[in-house]
Amino acid sequence: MSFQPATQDWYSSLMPRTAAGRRFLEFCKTDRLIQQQNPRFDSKLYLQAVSYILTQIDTVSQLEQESGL
Amino acid sequence: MIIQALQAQNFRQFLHLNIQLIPTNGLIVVVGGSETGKSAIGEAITFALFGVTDRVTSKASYKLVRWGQSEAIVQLAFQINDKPLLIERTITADGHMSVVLWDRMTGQVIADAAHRVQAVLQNSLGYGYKVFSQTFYWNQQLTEAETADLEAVEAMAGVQIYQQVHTLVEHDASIVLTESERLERTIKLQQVEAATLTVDPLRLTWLQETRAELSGSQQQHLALAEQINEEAQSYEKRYPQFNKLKSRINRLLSVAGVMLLTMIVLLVLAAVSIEYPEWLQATLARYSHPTIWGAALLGAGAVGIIALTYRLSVYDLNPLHSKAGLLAQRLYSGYRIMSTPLDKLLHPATVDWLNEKNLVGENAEMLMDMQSLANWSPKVENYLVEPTDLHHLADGLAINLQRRHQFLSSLVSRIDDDIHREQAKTQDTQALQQQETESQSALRIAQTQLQVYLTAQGLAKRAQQQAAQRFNNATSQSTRPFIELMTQGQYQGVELAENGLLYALHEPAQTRTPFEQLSPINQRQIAMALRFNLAKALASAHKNQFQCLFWDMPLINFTEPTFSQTLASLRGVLGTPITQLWVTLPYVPENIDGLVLLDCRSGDDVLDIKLAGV
Repeated sequence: MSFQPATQDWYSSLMPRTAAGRRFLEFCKTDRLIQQQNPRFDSKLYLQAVSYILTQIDTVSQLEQESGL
Repeated sequence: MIIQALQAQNFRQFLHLNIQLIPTNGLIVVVGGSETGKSAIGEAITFALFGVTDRVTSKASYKLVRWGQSEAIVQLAFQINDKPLLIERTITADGHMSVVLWDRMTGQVIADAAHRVQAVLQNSLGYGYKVFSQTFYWNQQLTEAETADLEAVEAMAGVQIYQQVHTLVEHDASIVLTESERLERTIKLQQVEAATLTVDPLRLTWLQETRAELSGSQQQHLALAEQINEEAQSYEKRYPQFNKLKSRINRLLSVAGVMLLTMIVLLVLAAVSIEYPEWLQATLARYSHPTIWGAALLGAGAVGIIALTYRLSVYDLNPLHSKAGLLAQRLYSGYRIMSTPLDKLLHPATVDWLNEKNLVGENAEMLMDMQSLANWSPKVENYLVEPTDLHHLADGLAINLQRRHQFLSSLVSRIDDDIHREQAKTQDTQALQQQETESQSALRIAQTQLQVYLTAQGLAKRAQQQAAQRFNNATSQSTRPFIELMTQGQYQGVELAENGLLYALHEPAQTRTPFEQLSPINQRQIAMALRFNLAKALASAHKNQFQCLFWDMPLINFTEPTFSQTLASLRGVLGTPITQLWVTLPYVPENIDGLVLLDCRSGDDVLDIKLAGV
C-alpha cells in the first residue's frame, strides 16, 4: 500500500496563483476524500495530477491575461 | 459601485471628454457609429479604476494617449455604497503612470500609489480587474465573436477553464501516447535485432587463443627459416676449415703412428741383442745406447703429436661438429614441421577454427621432397654434404618454411577479421542492450506520465461536473425571470449537462435545446440574462448596494422589433443592486421611454455632456 500523506500536507505543498486554481484545489480536498476510498487509489499519482492541472489552469489564466481578457 | 462623472484629456481619440451628472439609476445608451468613441468611454472607466483595459495591458497603456500628446489624464467620480470617491489616473506617452484616490466627502487623499489604490479598491469593491472585466464589463470584442455567448456562459459557470484544461491535457496525453507507442515499437525492433545478434561469450576468447597459436606458429616458421639460412651460410665457410683441420689431424696421426712404430722396432732390437752372437752383441752394444735414446725421442715425439692432435680435435674440430650438428638439428626440425600437415601440428581448438572455415585440407605448396631431406640431415653433421648441395637443400627448406609462414599469415588475417567481427558484434549487442534499457526507462516514464494525464482528465471532468452542478443549482430559480423576460417567454432557464453541453430549457413543452442550436439573438438574450444575474449575485455577495454595468454593443445584429423589445426588457430588469446599465448602440432606439441618451454620433474629439442626473 502506497504512503498516504495527510491531506493538509499535500494541500499546503501546492500554491495556486489564480482564483480558478484555488477553487479547483478546494474541490480536490473533497474529491480526494472520496477517491481515497478506492483501494487502488494512488496518492502520489493523484498529487501529480492535481499539480499538473493547477499548472494548466495557471497557464490558461496567464494566456487570458496576456491577451488582455 | 456606480459612475457619477467622467472627465478625460487626450484619452484615445478624445481631446477632451466630459460627462457630468450621470444618473444613479437608469439605462444609459451611448449612441454612435464606428470610431465615434463609444468604446473609449468604457475603456476610460476601466483604465481609471484599474490602469488596464481589455485592449491594452498596464505595460502597454501608453497606447491610450492620444496621438501626438505627451500624456492622458482620466478622472472618474464614482460611489461605492455611500462613499463618494474620485480617482485620477495619468499615463504619459513614455509609459509612466500615476494615480491618486480621493475621498470626495472630505477632499482627502486616500491613496496615491498604484498598489495602494489597487488594494483600497479591492477592499472596497470586493473584486479586482479580472472579476470586473468578466462580470460588470462586456467588451466589444467578446460581443462580436460567434461563440462569444456560449463561452461567456461557460466562463460564468466556471466550466470553461476545465474545458480549456481538458484540451491541453488531451494534447499533452496524445503526445505522450504517441511517444509511448513509438517507444514500444522501438523496443520490439531492438529485441528482434538483439535476437539476431546472439553472442557466444566464449567465442571471442577462443578466437583470440586460436590467433595467438597461429601467430606463434607463424613466428616459429619464420624464425626457423632465418636460422637455417644463416647456419647454411656458416656451413659454407666452415666446410673447408673442417676438412683442412681433419686432414691435418689425419696427417699428424699418421706421423705419430710411424714414429711409434719405429720406436717399437728400436726397442725390440735393443731387447733381443743378448740372444745374438757375440760379434753381433758387441756391435749392438756399441750402438745400444743411441738406439734407446732414439726410441725414447721418437716416443716422446709421437706423444707430443698425439697431444697436439687431441688438442686440435677437442678445441677446433668439436665446435665445428657442434655447429654442424645444430644445423642438422634445425634441418631435421624443418623436415619434421614441413612433413607434418598443419591440422596435426596445431592445437585441436585451433583445428576447430580451420574446420569452421573449411581450411583443414589447405596447405602451403611444398617445393621439395621432404623424405630426401631426412636422409641428408645426418650427413650434414659430419660435413659430408657439399656446401653447394647444402645450399640448395637449405634454400628449399627455408622457402617452404616461408611459404607456410605466409599461409599462416593469411590465416592470422582471416582470424583477425573474425575477431573484429566478433568484437563488433559484442559491441553492437552491448549498444543494443544499452539502447533497449534506455528505451525501457523512457517508456516507463512516458507510461507514468500518461497515468498522470489520465488521472488529471478524470479529475478535471469531475471538477467540471461539480462546477456545472453548482451552476445549475445557482441558476435554476434565480435566472428564470431574467431569461424569460429577455427571451420574451421563449425560454425559462439553462442547464449544463454532464457531458458539458449547455442547454436552454423550454418549460411549457418540457424540452431542452442545445445552446449552440439557438438563434444568435436568443443566445445573446440568454447570455445577457445570465450576465445580469451573475452581476447581481456578485454585487450582493460583496454588499454593493448600487452597481453599474457597461455593455459594449451587446445588441449587435439585433433587428426590430427584437432590438427594441430586448432594450425594453433590459430597462425592465434594472433594480437594486444593478441600478446603472451602460449600453452602447449603433443608433437611437425608437419608441422607448426612460432612456438616458449619451450622443456620440458627431464623432468629435471633444465631448462635453451633462446628463439628466437623478
